Amino acid sequence: MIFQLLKRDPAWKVFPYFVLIFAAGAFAAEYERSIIVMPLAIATIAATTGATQSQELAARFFAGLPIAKRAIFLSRVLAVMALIWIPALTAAAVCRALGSYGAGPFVAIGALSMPMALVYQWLWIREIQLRTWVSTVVVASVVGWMCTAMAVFPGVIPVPVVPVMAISCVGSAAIFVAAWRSVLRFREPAVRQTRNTTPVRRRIWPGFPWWLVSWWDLLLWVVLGNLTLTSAWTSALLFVWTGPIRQREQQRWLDPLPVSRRLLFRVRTAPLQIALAAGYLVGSQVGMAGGWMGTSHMISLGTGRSWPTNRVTSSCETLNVTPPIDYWKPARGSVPIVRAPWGETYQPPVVRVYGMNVYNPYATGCENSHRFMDWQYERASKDVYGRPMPVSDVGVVAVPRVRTRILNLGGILTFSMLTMFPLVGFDWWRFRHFPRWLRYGIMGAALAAFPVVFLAPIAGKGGIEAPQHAMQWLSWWLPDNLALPVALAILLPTATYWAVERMFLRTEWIAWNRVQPAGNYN
Amino acid sequence: MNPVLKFEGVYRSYGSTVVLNGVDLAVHPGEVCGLIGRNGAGKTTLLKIGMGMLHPHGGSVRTFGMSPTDEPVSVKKRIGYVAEDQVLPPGSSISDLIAFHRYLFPRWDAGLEKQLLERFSLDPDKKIKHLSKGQAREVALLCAVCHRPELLILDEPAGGLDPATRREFLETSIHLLNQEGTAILFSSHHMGDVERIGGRVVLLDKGKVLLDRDLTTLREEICVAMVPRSVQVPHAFRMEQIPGCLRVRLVFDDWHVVMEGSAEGVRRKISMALGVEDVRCVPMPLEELFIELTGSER
Repeated sequence: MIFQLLKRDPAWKVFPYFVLIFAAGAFAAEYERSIIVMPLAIATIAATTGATQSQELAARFFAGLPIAKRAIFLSRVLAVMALIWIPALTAAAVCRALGSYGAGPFVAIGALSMPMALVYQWLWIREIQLRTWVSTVVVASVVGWMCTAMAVFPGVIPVPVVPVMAISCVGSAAIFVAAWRSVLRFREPAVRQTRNTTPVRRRIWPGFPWWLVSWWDLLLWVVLGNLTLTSAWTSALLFVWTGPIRQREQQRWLDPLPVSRRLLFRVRTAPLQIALAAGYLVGSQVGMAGGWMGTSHMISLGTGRSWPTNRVTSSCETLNVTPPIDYWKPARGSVPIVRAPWGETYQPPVVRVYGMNVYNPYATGCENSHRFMDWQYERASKDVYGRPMPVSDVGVVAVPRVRTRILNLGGILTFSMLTMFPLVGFDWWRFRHFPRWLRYGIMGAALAAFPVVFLAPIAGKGGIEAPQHAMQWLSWWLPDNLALPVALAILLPTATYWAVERMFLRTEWIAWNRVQPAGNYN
Repeated sequence: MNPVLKFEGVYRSYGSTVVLNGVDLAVHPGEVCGLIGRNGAGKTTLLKIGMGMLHPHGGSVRTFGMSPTDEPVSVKKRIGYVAEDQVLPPGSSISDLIAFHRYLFPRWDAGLEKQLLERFSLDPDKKIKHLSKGQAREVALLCAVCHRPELLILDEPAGGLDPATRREFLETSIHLLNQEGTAILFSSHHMGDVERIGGRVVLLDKGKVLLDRDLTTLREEICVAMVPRSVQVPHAFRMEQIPGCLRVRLVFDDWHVVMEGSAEGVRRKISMALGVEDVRCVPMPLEELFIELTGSER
């Protein structure tokens, strides 16, 4: 019986995607050196929700059959464990085969997800529905913790696997026993009972009835704001699409009402964009938002000749001063020779980064003296930190250049709108008129783009950093003034907003899943 | 009088599946119009096109003389809508939802709201997700009628409700609004509901309007003739050529011929056309007529 139920569990529907994303996450961790947050976040979501809606539907079906409640529960737990462990172990195997990190991080992810999944199942059985603000706080805390860990530990998060595994197993066993004992007393397997709740008179906020429309989005705003606050902003873009998908189903009830689509689009997008932008601005100001994925935004010292480290040509005794990439300069024509007051010189080498020839104006060569290096460090620190600092102060986190911040802000707003573009496009009324082969072709291409973004680093491409690279490229490409970056930072988001809004005005919200009318289904 | 809702040659497909294939229909102020048809006939699609929730792929739609897709807000402000698959925000309470509707509709009738809350025994503090299906539908109806719409669109509004709730629901809709001149366009599978509400009946079949008659006319002027199969009738085509013939289908040992006209007139017409005498002709209730017009051969 357990096997029969297990075979029919809705978890298997999403299973291939999880394997794919985890494996892609493993490749990305290897090549990007830091993107562990992605599978970690997915594991959290998978563990806590466990294909919730499908679970409800499947369980409602099983409830009508002569099956023991505990059999349903056990099969469900086994399916969720498979949903977590098979992708995690696949990713661990990939990581181990690639060599750098071994299987540890992904095994730890599985271990952390296991008790979370069981807690969710237990809550479900006990028919406990968390209040929205509680869910928001819990998820925001978890994401905040992850992002903080990312900021504190650049690269893959160093998790001690054995203790984590041991604690997770003990905790999971305890939760399982508690849930197992609850099964018979609580949930008629899965038909949600109406519980008499004390009516709570909610005050309507008369000036802002839109909260009814958008309060579900609060969680997303918190999570995305948190991501841009504590890590690179491109990671937040990975989750922007979750908003439109959820809003589409949650806000379908508005379709017959006289709500202006333009206004609704603003209600949907403005808070999200404000959260992203505010997170980035605060994060970059206080130095929490890193430069690139997993790299701190600071002047670093190394014995290589150039940046990035994987382009080091040779090692020498003299330390090379490497400021954050946005402080490098585009090499237009010949690179000027750097001349110290006492006559010592160095001509920095040209490095091709993101298709642009750039040079490090504070570089030192192997033949240069320590005095020259100190002098370069002082110049670099004056540029980066605003005041000259001695080499002994190395490691202070810097604030990105103003033009970088302006362009990144424009980039965040532009790319977040571009992320929504395909999702809105699938509902565009003309899209439904396309022949089936064309519709499926476009949808397939859009879906395929997701793993491609993660696998791109293998081919030496930018992957999810691409938007950040593009903005840096623009920064180098534009003349060295603030007028054009400001103009672009306004123009690009405005243009993309306009295009997506135009499409949104002509969308049709046909249900992806047939949804029952609201109310209790008993 | 200008129609409140007018479809002209409306065409709509989902991918390669054509759902509406040239629908012409007009609903006038104060009219009650029942839209019937088999599953997949295009009733919901047509109603959603009228609301501006779907775009027609051909033809034109005017609601209150405006295009519902170009001016959706102006159109929807004058329409009430209840559907079987209508989703209400499950996390909100009834009072929250009503407050939102009050905000959207300046003409909101607070007296009617109070009256309906009492009539349906609804607790305003109760959350939508804790309501039964019937209660949720009553809340949807309350939200649809309290702004005194000029057109009420009901898409299978009573589907899944028990007979008592269904009766209560429909009577409320009709009596509240139609007395004040509100036009009502509703779709239903329950022929009893359609007969009870009265007005006009539009039968949609295979993407076209197969029948569009006043209910009284329908009862009096459409009947079904049964011609024994044993009679030497060459084929259905011959019967379809008889003026006033709407449909011919084979049911076991009889040909069933749906014809316009009184029972006696139709019997005479068929006898003359086919040269047979053994023809029975009877007026039929709406449900039987629906089956005769849309059912398959047996």
